[in-house]
Amino acid sequence: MNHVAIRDIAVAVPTTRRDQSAWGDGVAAKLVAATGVSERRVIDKETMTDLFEAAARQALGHRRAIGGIVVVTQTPDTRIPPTANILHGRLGLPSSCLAFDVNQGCSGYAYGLEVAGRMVSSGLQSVLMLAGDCLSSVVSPTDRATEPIFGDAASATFLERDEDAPSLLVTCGSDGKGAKHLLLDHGDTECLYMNGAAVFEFAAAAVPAAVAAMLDATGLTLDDLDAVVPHQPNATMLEHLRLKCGVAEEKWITGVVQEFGNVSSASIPLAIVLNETRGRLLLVGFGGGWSWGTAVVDTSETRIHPLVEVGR
Amino acid sequence: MKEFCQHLDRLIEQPTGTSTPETTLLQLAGWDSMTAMGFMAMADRQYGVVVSAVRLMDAKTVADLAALVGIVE
Repeated sequence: MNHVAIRDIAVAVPTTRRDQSAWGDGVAAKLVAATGVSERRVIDKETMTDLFEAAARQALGHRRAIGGIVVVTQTPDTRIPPTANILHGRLGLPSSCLAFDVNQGCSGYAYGLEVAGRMVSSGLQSVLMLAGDCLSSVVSPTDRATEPIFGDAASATFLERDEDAPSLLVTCGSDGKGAKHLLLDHGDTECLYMNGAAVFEFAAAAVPAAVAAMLDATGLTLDDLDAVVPHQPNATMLEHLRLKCGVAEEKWITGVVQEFGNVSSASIPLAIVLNETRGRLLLVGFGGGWSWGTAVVDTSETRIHPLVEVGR
Repeated sequence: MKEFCQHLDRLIEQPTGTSTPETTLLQLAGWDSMTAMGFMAMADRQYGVVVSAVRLMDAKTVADLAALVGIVE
């Protein structure tokens, strides 16, 4: 799609840190070795909406005359109304600004770029796309497959119409046969279920294929890109996917999981913020659904804001 | 099979010779739910096989694991 500039990227995380010590020394050491996650940030008094608001304010600055606000999350504070509408009120956005949520997780940054990018490409002046989750609030404290891995974060990406912007390319896909492997039922007592081995099997096949398909469709090679920014689920899977995708270490942007864990749809923007990754980037997200998405974006002119921390 | 057992021992950080085809996964020190992802990465890297998660969960012995990457004795 054309005429879509990525003006700002900001990420907010809670101040509260949680390490793996609750698992006991032996298990904790093994968990850290297997996943690379030493600690993560988790919400305490603050809410998911608070994180989104902080990221949004950082990205927007004084701007309020925007055309749309889209929130990508699977852990909204309320089922009704959408988080986007709550934030519309909190931020004081104009009544002409449309607001809605998209339900997507670890692939959600690409899905958000697809939805918001098309809105801008087809005529809206600007859209604020927020993507993030607080999965720490839906994991069982005794589930080794999920509790040690997931952290909380919210990202804000401001897209604006610009006739001279480099083209924004996004491709998303899904395979509903994987739906049962990453699941959270309705009900306040339900906890997230994840079959980690099934996720690995899916990602090992889908991610290299999605990257290859995007390169093929655009005629780009890895040499044409300044960096590849994958979703950051855990260190073992990340390194495996790097090798499968054939990306050199210096072009494979990581550095999230050790201190923040898997922060779902906020992981790609968090990697960009922590590494100040600029240039022509290939992004690849993947997760529950199954779902995945790739994007070629240009952040050369993007304001990449320093990490925002929310809490007491 | 010998080479496979060596890869497995390295993965679970146990001395070479710990795994034999007959060893059950319940007996195998260092093998637990957290090892699955590492095993799948090793299987893909060393043997070029993306192991089926469903079949991995059905595996009972080291020989079953070896069969997943196409090693049968």
